[in-house]
Amino acid sequence: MTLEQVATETYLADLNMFTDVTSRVLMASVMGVECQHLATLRAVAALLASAPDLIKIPIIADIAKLPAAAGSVAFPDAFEGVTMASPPQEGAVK
Amino acid sequence: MNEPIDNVAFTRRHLLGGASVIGLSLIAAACGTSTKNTAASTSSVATATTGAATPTTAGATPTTAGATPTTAGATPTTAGAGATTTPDTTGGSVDVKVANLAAGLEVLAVGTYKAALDAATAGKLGAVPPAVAEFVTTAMKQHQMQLDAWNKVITGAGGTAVTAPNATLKPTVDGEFAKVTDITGAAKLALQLEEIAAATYNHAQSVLTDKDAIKLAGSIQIVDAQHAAILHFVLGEYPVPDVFAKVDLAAA
Repeated sequence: MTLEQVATETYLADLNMFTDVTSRVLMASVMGVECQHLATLRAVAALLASAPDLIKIPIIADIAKLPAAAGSVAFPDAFEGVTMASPPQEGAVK
Repeated sequence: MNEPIDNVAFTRRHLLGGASVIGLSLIAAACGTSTKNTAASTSSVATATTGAATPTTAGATPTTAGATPTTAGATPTTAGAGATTTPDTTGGSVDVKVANLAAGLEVLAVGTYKAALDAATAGKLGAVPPAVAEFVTTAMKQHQMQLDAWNKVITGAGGTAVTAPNATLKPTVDGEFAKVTDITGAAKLALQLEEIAAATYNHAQSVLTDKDAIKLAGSIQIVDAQHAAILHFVLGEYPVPDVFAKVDLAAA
């Protein structure tokens, strides 16, 4: 989960560094998937702690059993932050 | 409630037709300086990857975005306000036009979630699972905050805050909502809206010029994509259906 959060936030932090539009859109398209991995892992982590038997697909038949928190735990904020973003220098070739 | 996902009463074509117009609006906002960027599509990823293969220039001269991160989840109060925007030949700026487009989508999202909440409260959608009720309440609140952020961009640039929903999609969404009879139907409609919003923000990266607006759009794209992921899960689908986030929902 930490890896996905770092990836998501690094992509977000780096978006506006690109001057090449194609690269920026590519980065956004990858970011859009990493963040869904993060959301899924957040939900799974919450269910592991409270209702591990509900970690399954499809869930529809048991949807009423999901704890209320399952409806919000995956996206704790209205805007993703960048506190866990890695700086570009971290990946520089030395 | 247990209706298979394949039996969706409405099709994506309805909403996507409208979304295509939105995408075209984005392109128009760029005044011909941008053709539709399909970097996320399978066929174009290879090309896009080539472009991204040598990001050394961007990486070598980092801005402060990564070095001085903002507080996680904090409202990006300075996003785009008084932005250094790129004027276009039709008046206004590309960034403000995108902000207006985004705000209209957010108004539509807030209104649709509110309608769903009202219908659920009135017992028109049958039994409402606690997780779904929590989702609707949270998503509506977050879209309102996102709307407020875009309106701050707009008013900061001297414009008028957007309070009306996107006029292209509104009639279609209203028509589809009228057919919703249960939570599953409401979730399917919400998923369409979230995917269109996320795709539109992704596509907006190809036309936005202001760094704060780029970051704001990205931060909202993430949350809307996460809304979509949970809706996929609730509807019995794998929550991460794509390897690359698509932009084709934003522009045909």
